[in-house]
Amino acid sequence: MMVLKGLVSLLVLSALCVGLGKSYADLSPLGQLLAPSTGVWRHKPTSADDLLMNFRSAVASAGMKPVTLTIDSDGVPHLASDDEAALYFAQGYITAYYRMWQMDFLSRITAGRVAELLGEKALPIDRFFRRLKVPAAAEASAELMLNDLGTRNTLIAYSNGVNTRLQQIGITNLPFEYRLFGTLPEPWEPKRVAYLLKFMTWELTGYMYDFRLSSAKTKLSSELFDLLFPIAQRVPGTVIGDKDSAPIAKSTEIGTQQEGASYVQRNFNLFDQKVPEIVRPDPTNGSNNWAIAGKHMANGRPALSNDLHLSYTLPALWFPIQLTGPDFNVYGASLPGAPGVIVGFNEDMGWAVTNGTNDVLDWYSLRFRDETRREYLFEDSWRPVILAEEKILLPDERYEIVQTRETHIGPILFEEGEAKAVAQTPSGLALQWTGLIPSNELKSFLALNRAKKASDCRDALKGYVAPAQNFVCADQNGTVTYRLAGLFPDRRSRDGRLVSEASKSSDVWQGFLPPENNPAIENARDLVITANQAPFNGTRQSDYGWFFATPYRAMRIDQLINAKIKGAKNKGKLSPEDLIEIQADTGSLLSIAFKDLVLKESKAAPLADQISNFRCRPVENLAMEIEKWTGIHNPDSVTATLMSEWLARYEQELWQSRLGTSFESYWPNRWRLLEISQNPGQWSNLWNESPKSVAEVLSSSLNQACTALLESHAIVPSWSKYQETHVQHSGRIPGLGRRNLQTGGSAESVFANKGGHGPTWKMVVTFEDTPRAWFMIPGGQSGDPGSVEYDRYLTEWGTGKMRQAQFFKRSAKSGSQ
Amino acid sequence: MNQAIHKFILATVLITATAFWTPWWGTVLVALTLALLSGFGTGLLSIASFLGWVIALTLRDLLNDHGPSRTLVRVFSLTELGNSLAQPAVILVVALIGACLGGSTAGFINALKEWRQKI
Repeated sequence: MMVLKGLVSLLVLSALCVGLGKSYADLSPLGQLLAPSTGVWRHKPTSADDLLMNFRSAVASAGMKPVTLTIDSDGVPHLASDDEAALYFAQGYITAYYRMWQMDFLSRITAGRVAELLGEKALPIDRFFRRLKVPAAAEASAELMLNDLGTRNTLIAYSNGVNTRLQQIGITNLPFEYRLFGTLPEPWEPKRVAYLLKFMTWELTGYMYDFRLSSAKTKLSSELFDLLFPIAQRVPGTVIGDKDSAPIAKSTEIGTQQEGASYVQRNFNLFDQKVPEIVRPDPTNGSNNWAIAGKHMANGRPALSNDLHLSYTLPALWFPIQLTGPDFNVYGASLPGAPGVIVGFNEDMGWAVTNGTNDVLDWYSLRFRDETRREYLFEDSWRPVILAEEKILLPDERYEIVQTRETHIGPILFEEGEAKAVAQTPSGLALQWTGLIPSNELKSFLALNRAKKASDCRDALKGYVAPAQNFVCADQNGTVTYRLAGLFPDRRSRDGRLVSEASKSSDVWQGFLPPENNPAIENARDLVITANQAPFNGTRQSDYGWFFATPYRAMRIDQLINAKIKGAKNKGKLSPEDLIEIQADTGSLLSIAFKDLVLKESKAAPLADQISNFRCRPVENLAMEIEKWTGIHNPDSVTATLMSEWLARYEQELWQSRLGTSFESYWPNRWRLLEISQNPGQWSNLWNESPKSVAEVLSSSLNQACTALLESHAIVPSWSKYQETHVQHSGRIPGLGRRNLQTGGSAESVFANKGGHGPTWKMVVTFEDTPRAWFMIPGGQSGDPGSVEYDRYLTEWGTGKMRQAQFFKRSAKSGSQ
Repeated sequence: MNQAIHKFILATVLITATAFWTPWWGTVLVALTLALLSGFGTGLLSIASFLGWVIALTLRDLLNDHGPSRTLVRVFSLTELGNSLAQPAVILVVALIGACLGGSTAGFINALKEWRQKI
């Protein structure tokens, strides 16, 4: 007994000593993390009281001119100073105070330096961006920013603010994530801002659809390909209407593109595995913005609305702030790590952005001389591939060497010897992407911060390169403008949709389209709506892209605004509350269009029989449920679940056998899907043999939907259980996010919640003597998981509520707190 | 009886102070030292270690505005329990590490001592 007791004790003690002293998955040893004297238990969350005390000493020790800091009841910092350097210093300081780890992490992604923070598991991210040569592009951009006097001073002041905070950070203030991984922050350099902006550019333009469409092309006849993927698809609800009467499909260069397409067919899976999930841009990254002319508003002044659709993260992606400088006073969403405000308003005007969803990234297949792939054929001569080696650092002084390859066209993603299939066929892919062009977008955003009228947006956006965005500006004098800002490739005869072979100059970009010709409206009289849809209909639509969002969201916004205008309430004039309500709308015109199709087809057998015999608990009477459903995706809606799954199965039944999975091949968008379903001529062209009617496909897909839902959930679940809403930690650290939020919305709703993706910054602004504005973020101000401010607004956000921004006019800035 | 209470208080105070100021293995050293002195049994040191860690963790939590326990509540996905329940629960669970450290050290030393007495 005594021996057993001793042995058991020894075993437990040894296991504890080993277990607590060991490091798992690049985390700090468990004992160090959990012991009362170290790790988590020495961690003091960021608080406003501490901030005010530390802020005073930071400003004084840096020898800065006076800055007033006020933290309002929503936790939003308001900074005011007569000295611009002091103001941006303070912004850098405050942002680092609340979001140090987040800004460090985000700015490391495109720098290819995440593994230094998170260890080996982040190596694929670092390899990917190093090979894409994004760090070099970001550094060239940083040089541009530092060569411009305005952005240089701002960047230096901001960086000094961050570094002053870093010097103050002691053991108890070190952000939790650094403790968890046993790493430390390093001094902040101005170039980090360029990395951050490149990260946003990648997020918003780094789409790989050329591969999937090329894959689709290899599986379809030319006629069917053109039917499913028409160039310059004509849609309602474009931003600026029609540029000409009829879209004319350009003939694609089948010969050269076939080469690229077959390459993709062989290597698609190989390629896709190399894009780490964390940096694969979400296909639905987008946004809504709209401006309503003063004549429709109760106060007679224009109103501006914006919600930015990106992946949800904790800490929240955006950091609300007010900056009052010597000649400007701006409030809005700042990007942690970058000075100024990215989206917001000042005393005179406001600006709102949505993703242009443009095609600014093309892939080319090259012909290599031999399997070593050190030379490629271009203009009848063999050109050398520029080889370089880069060192990716890991914690504990470990490192990995990654080889990069570059051509005069752009970088090559594949590494020699990594892909056998590539080695057997001496060809590779080079990339052209506007994100690799050195640029200074910070200058544009800082100019917008101090713009006086909506027409100033035009000058502010001169020189803006990427990511291409729809800017809608409105001012208190009643002017509303729209501009698609960005640099777009001049492809001449090509449309850039497919991977193509590049062996001569005419195969690649021929410069850029003149930015002054970008779609724009100088003085909108009524309503401007952008929701990532095509900017216009016409032959030149494809110059700007081909995978725009379907028009359902823009049409829904238009429908809701017009319903309010025509409604008896407020005598046809809109109030800010109306705009807040529209932003929270969970209805979907796509669902209504699908419902209409179902109702039309259910007038005939066999769908009618199917629906009348429908057994899919708890939906007892499907026909009645569909009839009364208004397309609203509320959290408790069961019909929304069934209709969504049904549509997905319908789409799958039509495309999967022809194109493979949506992961393998690009599928026609849902606007096209329903267009073809409603056009008997086009529908019949889908079928070579054993044709099926729309009703037959709807019938079988309903069956599949019901079976799938019952198998996975036992009953048809409510919408919030079917589309679960989760918010992940920005570094994907398990446990630091929030799961199962009860919220509605869908991809085509104005409240475009898609589970892990949707409105990350919501803003409504009306212009009066003092602008009145409302905002919301899915999270809170603090980046500290131990703080109550970490996810303070999350539940409120899920219900569609917004908070009134406490905007201080310049005269009030002297009141200090 | 009084002597046992005194020993328990002494052990608890020592382990609290050690846990508060030194790394996790400090608890092992204190338990080892106390167990080597006669009269500090395995049960007594287990409970004293648990209590010592609970006190040390609670003090740290209070000193740091409850940030540590709130962070762990998130890490262990206990947010649905509510902070008033989940935060003490987290402290008690982590304190079990201290109890195991103190208890297993004392268990081993006391078994050794027993074995030595027998031979």
